[in-house]
Amino acid sequence: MVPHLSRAALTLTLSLVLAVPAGAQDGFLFRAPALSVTLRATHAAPRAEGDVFDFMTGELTLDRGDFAAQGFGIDAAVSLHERFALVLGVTRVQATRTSDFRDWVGDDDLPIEQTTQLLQVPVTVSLRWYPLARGRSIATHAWIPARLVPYLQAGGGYQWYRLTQRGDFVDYETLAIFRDDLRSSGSGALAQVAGGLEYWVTPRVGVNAEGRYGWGSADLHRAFAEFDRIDLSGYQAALGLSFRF
Amino acid sequence: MSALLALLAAAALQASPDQDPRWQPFIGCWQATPAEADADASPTGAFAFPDAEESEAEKPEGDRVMCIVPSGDGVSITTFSEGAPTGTRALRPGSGAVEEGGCRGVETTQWSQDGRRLLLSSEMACTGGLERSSRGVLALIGRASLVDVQSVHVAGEEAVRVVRYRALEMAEHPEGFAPDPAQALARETARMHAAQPLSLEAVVETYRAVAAPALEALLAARRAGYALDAATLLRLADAGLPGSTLDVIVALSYPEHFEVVEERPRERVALADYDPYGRRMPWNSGWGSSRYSCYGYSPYSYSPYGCDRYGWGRGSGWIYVIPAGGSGSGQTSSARAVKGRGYTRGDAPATGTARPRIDQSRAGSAGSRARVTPASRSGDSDRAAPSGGSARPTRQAKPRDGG
Repeated sequence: MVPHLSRAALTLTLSLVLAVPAGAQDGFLFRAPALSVTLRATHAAPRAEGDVFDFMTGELTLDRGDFAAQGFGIDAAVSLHERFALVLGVTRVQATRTSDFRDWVGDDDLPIEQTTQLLQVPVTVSLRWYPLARGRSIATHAWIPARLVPYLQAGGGYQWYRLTQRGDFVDYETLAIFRDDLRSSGSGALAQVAGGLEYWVTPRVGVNAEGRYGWGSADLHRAFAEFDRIDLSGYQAALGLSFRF
Repeated sequence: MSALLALLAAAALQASPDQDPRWQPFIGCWQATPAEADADASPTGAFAFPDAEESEAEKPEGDRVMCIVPSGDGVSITTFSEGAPTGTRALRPGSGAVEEGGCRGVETTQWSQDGRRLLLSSEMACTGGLERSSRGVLALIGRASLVDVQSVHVAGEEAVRVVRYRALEMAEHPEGFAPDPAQALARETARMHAAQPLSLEAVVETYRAVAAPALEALLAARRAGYALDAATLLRLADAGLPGSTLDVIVALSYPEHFEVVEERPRERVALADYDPYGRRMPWNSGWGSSRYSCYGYSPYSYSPYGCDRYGWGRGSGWIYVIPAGGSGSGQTSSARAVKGRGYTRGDAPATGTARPRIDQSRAGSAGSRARVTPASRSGDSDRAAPSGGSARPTRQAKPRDGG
């Protein structure tokens, strides 16, 4: 899935880059843009609280910070008003770390290794507020964008996750080492707030920096039995390219 | 009277060496023309009429001629109709009292800072207690094209009129009004200089002198675009230019995106149905939609008050900006696409007659859908099309060794 998504993101980025500049004038647009699309690289720092993270960081050589993830996202901000926009966003972040058992090694003295992977895909709808004007309409057919456009936004949505541990594990009852692929996936509601800053290099192309915090959790299934819901809350920081249409 | 006028004009033309050189481009006789005849105006912008066809009633008469001859520090303007002089009026820079047609007040005539345009204004009180103000510009928009733009404001309502003139050839001048042929080259040079596009500074100056409607009409008549950027637009906006004027400037500068449309009376309804992006006349009758009487004031002479033969309904009106390729609502007929019936022509004119298509490659397959099949390969002639289910597998799976 990752190569496919990366290819799709690259294709989308190239398409936007090629499509956008055609309509731009020298520092102004003929009308205020109705839509902006931001493609962003995201760094996620999950809070990683709860018993399943306690278990993994207790048994394995993992820290909560190891669940920090990189990924990408796309936001489409549909202008509702001079100062408000409805933002539809989807992000994909994935953390992959190798580890071994803190307290156990094999009878060959080699570490008992495994790979832990946490994939999160939040899909959100937010209301974005621009405290400063995004641009100045000086006539019906001339709109001059502001260079710096800060914003705040809040919203919610749904978050899909997949937790995978693949490698060697210890059966605590027999101390036997076994190889397996432990998985759980599910989804849950998400709430988030965000703040960001856009810097418009041209009327149609800009860079975007954003920080957001989300609250969410989801049930664990299958291989992760009797744990509480997995904590999917945490910070995200993103840098992106924005395009206006 | 005609001979006397000719003698006076000839005398005035002889005195031209003392004339203010700013008048030189205007000296000569000019014939009123429809806008489409401005062949030598700069083609740097779009100026499109949605419907170029003119009714007979609106066609200018070919003998509507205005002759401008030097007179002191100003000029004398004599108007001809059907070859006969209909009136003479003096025009000179400065302010002074004026009393005309039941109105009295103050009129001001001044040159633009670059000396290329004459800016006219008046404030008058009329019988009945109404006040009227008028603003106008007399400017060359081409080597042989003159435009007279005027707007009148009364009690919150405004009307705009543009009349275009072409320079008469020497042989076409009424007797005694032909300018000195020895000065032809100098006159042409002066006209080329005067006809240069307005700088943006001149745009601001003209706005302050004659307000937006007349300025927009002048810009539209001149058809010149500008090298605009955000800073320039902000500077113009901060100088006080209204959005409607800025829209006209933007539209003239980007003719591939916009058309500047001069509303004519019979187009008013169609344009009102369409979002005009600009102002629209606040009423649909009165000055803006019909010729109006000048209440007895020398109706056949040139006047900066709009009281000339051409009236306010002739030739032009407000300036509209529409997307390029559009004209008004974009559809003037009642043609429709009707579900279950196809297209109906309505009152749209027929341009031909249809017949059934005869296509041999499709004969006998009417109603069938085209199919795409993979090209057959050598040795695979017995392969079925990969439509699912009938393809014969070419490889077989087996357990992996040691698996």
